[in-house]
Amino acid sequence: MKHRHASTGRGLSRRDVLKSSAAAAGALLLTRPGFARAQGMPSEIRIGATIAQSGPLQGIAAPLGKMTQAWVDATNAKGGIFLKKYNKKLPLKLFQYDDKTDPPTARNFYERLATVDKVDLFIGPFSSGLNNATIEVAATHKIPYFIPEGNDSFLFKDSNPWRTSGLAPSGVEYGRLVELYKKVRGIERIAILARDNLHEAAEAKAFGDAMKAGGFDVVYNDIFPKDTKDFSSILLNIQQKNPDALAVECLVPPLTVAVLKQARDSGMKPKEVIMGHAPIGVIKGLGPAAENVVSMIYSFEGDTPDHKELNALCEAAGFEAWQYPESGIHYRTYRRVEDALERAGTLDHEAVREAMWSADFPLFGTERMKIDSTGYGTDQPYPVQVRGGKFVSLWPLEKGAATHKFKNGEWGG
Amino acid sequence: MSVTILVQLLINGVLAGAVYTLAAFGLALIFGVCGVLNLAHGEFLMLCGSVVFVLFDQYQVNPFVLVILVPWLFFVLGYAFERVLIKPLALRKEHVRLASATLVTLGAALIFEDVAAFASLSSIFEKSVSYSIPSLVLGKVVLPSLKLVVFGLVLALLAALVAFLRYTYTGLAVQAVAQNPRGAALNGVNTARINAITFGIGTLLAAAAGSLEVIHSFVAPNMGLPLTLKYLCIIVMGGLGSFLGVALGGLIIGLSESFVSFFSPAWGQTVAYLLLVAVLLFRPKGLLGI
Repeated sequence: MKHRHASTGRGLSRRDVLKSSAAAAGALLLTRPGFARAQGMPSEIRIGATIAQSGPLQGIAAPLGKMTQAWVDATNAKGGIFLKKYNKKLPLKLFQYDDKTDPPTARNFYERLATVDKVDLFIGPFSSGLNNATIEVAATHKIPYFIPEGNDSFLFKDSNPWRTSGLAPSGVEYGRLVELYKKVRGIERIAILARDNLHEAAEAKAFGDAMKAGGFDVVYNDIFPKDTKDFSSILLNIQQKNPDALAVECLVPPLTVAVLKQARDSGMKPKEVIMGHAPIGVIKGLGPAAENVVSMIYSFEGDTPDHKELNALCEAAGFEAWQYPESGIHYRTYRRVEDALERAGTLDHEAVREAMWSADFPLFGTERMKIDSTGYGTDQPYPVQVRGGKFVSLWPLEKGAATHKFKNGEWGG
Repeated sequence: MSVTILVQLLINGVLAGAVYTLAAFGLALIFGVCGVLNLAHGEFLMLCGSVVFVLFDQYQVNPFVLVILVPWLFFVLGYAFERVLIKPLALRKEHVRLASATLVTLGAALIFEDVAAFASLSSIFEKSVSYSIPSLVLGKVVLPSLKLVVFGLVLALLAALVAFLRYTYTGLAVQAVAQNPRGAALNGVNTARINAITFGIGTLLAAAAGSLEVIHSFVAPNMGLPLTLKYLCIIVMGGLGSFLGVALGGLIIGLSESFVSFFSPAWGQTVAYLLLVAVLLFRPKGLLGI
């Protein structure tokens, strides 16, 4: 069968059609990222991640997913990241899914990212617990894995060379706060209550140990199950210990709110109240009761290019950096990714992995990001205090000690 | 343990048990009359708490006014839920109907949870009403005023429910359908309508509990199913078919959580299930089961 060609009147043979089709298919194949990638000419850098857009960690983690997208957009607006091997900048392509704060779901998504989306590197999920479920995927598929919010020792118990964290070990996370209390003076006895979870339980123990080492008396340090809604009897026990300070170590914002609301309603009047993790939802949920509560945040006020970039990414994601204290961790993760890719100069997994481990670059004017032999970074949080519904920095320590105010049992409202 | 602490723990347990009882009553009513194990019960609680939060946050309405008004919306929602999703299953064989209805409510629960989680993405606020009343102090015993008001509202709602069931025609019809649906129908009771009304009332009770939870604690999208399991535990422990048993079950769970949490918080939430196993081993019908 022959088809008439409209302009020449010449008939199109079956061979002509086949030739044209083959040429079109070839052209299509050559322009596809997968083919170009197979020939060693990638057209993009594929980044895989999950974030808790639902589930218990939604209130603390979900906006950080938007922040990652904002970073990808901002990087691509500059042309991407220069990779020496290909002698050009490559744009980023983000594959990001909702892990529902569920370890099996997170693991399945990381398997998908490795096998279907074929990403070049992973940014881990939020929290040690979820990272614990997913880091094995990195080792199995030999893909570099940048842990953002995760520093429990459990993540580093074996020699998985494909993962590193930007965070310092959980044992030193409260170090700056302990130093602050040594300077401020005024509290001696502290009670610590933590959610029963990998990260919080380890943090509470580490905080307690650090306070003891600092000469403070830890009168209560216990965990509560994740489904607890009524804390009145736990708080009654704490009251019997007569602590000066009450610390709540909990990644799930509504639980922190519930503990402190019920502490207020049960007549507790601690001199100091500390929240381990407090996104804006916690401050709003507590209302006036949040005033002068102390917490920790992974950034501090400043005017360096890093500060400006962090603030710009947060703004593009629809919030201010202080509203989601872990945004500083995510920012450092982006910087670690950029640093590793630029120094590796290639998307070769082994080269990127080596560059990830050898990170050594300045941040925020006073910090230096380095990875130790275990895989830990150097990121530690800074103490802050709620004033007028937002955080103000208690850093540097001299300034913090001078401006810190005790809550003195005043819940407001 | 001093007497003061003992009294305080008793008060904490009774106050917590009252809210459990309120929501568990709704679940028991739906199961007893409609024969449906409503696994979306906790989701209605969560949804109502979320609505109360949003109205409080946006319009600064007194949360206790919202507690009185908002649950009625959920009566309508529960009524419609029964009509649209449960009634079409009514003509199936009993065991098929029970399994189908349970799966329908489970599916609805998962959908409600996902929708609530998605809706929460546009908000940066946790769903917890920032509202307080100064606590009462009697000697060394502290009576949290907020919880006392909650307790009073629970008692008022339960009293209203008992009065409704005993002294109104519809209430008597609900009891009749619970005892013998076919006999009730032969006596002129519109059982389909009674099922829908009962589902509405049960949902209203869950919603009322949710509106109280968001005042003294919080609500979150993923809290529904664990709560439904706890309410199920309460009604099985108290005895299926016995409303007094539900009250007893709620009280026992509230008190046991209160005492165990004082000594060992980590075991505070597990105790409900340990007690359920113990009760079922020695009295399979539940404490006051018929």
